[in-house]
Amino acid sequence: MSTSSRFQQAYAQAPWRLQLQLSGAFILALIAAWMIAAMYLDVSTRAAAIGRQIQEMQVSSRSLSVNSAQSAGAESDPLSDTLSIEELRLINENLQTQLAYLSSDALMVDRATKMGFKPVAADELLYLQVAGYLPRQTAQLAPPPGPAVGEMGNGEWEVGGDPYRRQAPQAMLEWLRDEILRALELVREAQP
Amino acid sequence: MKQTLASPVPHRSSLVRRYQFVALFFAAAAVAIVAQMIRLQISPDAIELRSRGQLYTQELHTFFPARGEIRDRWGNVLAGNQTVYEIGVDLQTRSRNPETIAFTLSRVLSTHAEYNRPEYYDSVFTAASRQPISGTVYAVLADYVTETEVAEIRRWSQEYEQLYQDRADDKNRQTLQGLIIRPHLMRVYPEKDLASGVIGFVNRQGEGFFGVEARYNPLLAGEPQTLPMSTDPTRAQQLPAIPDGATLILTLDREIQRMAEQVLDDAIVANGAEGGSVVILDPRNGEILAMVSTPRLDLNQYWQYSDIFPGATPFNRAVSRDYEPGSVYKVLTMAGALDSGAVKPETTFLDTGSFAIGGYYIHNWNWGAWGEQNMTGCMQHSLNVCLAWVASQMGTDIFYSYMQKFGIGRLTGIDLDGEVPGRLKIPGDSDWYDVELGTNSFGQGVAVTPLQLSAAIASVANQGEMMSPHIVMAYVENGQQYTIPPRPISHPISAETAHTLTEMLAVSLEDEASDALVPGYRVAGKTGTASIAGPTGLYDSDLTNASFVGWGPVDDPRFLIYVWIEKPTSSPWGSVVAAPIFSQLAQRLVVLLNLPPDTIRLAMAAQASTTP
Repeated sequence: MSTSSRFQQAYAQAPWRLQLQLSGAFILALIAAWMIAAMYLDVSTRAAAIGRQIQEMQVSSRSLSVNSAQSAGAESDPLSDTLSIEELRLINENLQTQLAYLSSDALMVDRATKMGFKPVAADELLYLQVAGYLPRQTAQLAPPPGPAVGEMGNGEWEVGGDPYRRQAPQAMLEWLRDEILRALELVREAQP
Repeated sequence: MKQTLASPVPHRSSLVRRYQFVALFFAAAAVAIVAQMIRLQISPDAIELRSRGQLYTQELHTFFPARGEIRDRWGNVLAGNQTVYEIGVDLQTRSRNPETIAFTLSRVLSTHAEYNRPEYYDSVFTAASRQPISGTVYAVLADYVTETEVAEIRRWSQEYEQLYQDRADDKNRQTLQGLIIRPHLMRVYPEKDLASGVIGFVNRQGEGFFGVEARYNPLLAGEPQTLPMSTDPTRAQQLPAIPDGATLILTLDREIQRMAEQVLDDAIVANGAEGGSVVILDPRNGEILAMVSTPRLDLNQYWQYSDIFPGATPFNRAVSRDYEPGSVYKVLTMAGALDSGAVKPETTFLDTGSFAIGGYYIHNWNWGAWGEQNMTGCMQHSLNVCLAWVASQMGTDIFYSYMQKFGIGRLTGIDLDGEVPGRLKIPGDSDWYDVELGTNSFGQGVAVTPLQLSAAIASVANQGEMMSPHIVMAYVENGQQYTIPPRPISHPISAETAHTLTEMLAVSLEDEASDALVPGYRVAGKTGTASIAGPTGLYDSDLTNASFVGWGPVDDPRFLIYVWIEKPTSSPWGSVVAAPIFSQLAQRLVVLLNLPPDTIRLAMAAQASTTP
């Protein structure tokens, strides 16, 4: 038996080697668990921070501190990026009402009178027959409800039903692939 | 013998036992922890603990949708929303200065009628000085503050901050820190008192009163939703999209409404009347184009309601006040008589000045005898005696059957709050007497609302078909517009009867050279002068209700106008007071309806029919 073979045999039979293997495996598992925990903690922290921002924005849309930067800036620039959807909705309501006031019957009559107009009497009117004239239509603020017609994706057309609830067909594997890609994307984002 | 000073080395097996003991100890501890965790999960108290935990993970939030708008038939806004602000103080803000807050608010809001009072400063100071105890962390200081006032408060705040920017640690510094502004919507009415009786109003609690605001309150208000919102940042939820309340599109025409209000207001002043009402509707479909009632309220100041409508003053006379209509009611009597065959237009009646029925004598309005009259003459001269005879020819059963077909004594079902049914006494009622047949025939002893009689007589203008009067033409909900189709109620008379009666009433106006005539347009109509019963039930007052109902053009009726002037002092007669108002309204209405004079319209129709 050569020296080399003896050394190999002695190394293989060394009692500390098994302990080293066990310890290595344990440390490896520990490191893996630590990495997963760190990753989980990082993702959770980011999610919590963003969630907190969302909650603060939701609260700020309902109430503003009188001396907050947001409230001070909102006055000068009503279309500022800092305005929430709720604030924009309120501004829209105000603008609509302002327009309604400006175009109210009393103001319109007053304006017309100042411009020299006066109400026309029946005997002052001259009626002309105009081909293709369409009489004034009553208010149509939204489309009427009707049968929804939509392409179902397989070349057939669906009539009726709620088009917003119609779901595109998606295979199970496609869904699984999308979910995995989404998870990987999340992990990639979580990397420091 | 060799003696060693060191302690004996423990035997290897002893060491192993010690290690085993320590390992066992830790293993037991781990098992105990795991067992306790499992026990907590499955113990009877686990559900209670979990539910307690849930209390801290969620908060209930109520989301209020914006109230739907009210628009006229052309889309003009009659009721909308405007942002106002609630101002409060966060009691947890340690740096707040109650004195500065009270001073600022009492100064800035001094132009605000609600807060322009000396004790407001003290009330704000007291509220802002409170400590956050017993869970109270917020106190409301003012509400319905306008955008201009809020801008002023913010300006003050910025100036305070600039003034003390180098003395941030000064404990007595003036600051508005802790002041919270919460925007919310308030109902506003850009047209102020226009059609106030139809629209109604909304109070600060969001409750609708009168008109469509009350009738359609659930539809306009939408459905507030109370949802649990997670307080856990990792589970932040999207704010729910609460659909706004539905927008109503009324049948009203803003310009016709304003015109009718002006004409009625002028007429009430000119005739020294107590009040009045005008209803303008399209007899073809029952759409109300205008509904006027006096007095009217600026809906933006609804708190003046009790001052403007003292006692039992109705908010909308057209639907909420019934009265004895007088001779306009003869249209229904004659319609029933013609339709039942009891009389024909050429039937003659010898008017001797009185007619006995139920033990009483009926007399004409001038206590005179008009001699032989045909039915057109009876209507033209509005002869009570003749109409009482006509009713007796019909008989009790047929007469009241027709009145019920016309909907007298019943609600019309109009989509407005506060409609009253009026009163039609019928045989069998404890307070019905035989003479009622005679008096009812000319509109006394029966109570109707202006709308009720308008809807009934509109059937004469619409080939005998009675349409349900309605005020809402369509509503917009969840991005879709739902149109409410016209709804026929009944067919009380035939089309032939309707044409015959319309022609009789057109001729009677023309022969009489009535003040109701409309130049260029052939109209049919009937005056009404009704005595007013006193508290004792006796007609002992000189005051009357003057009315007129008319429609046109006769060959293709597009409008029906009902005028009621209550207690005029200029003249008691409907022909003098109400008929000219009808004419005035009709002359301005045809312009707003783009309705050419009869000659032009018929020529255009003839030309269109001959053009291939």
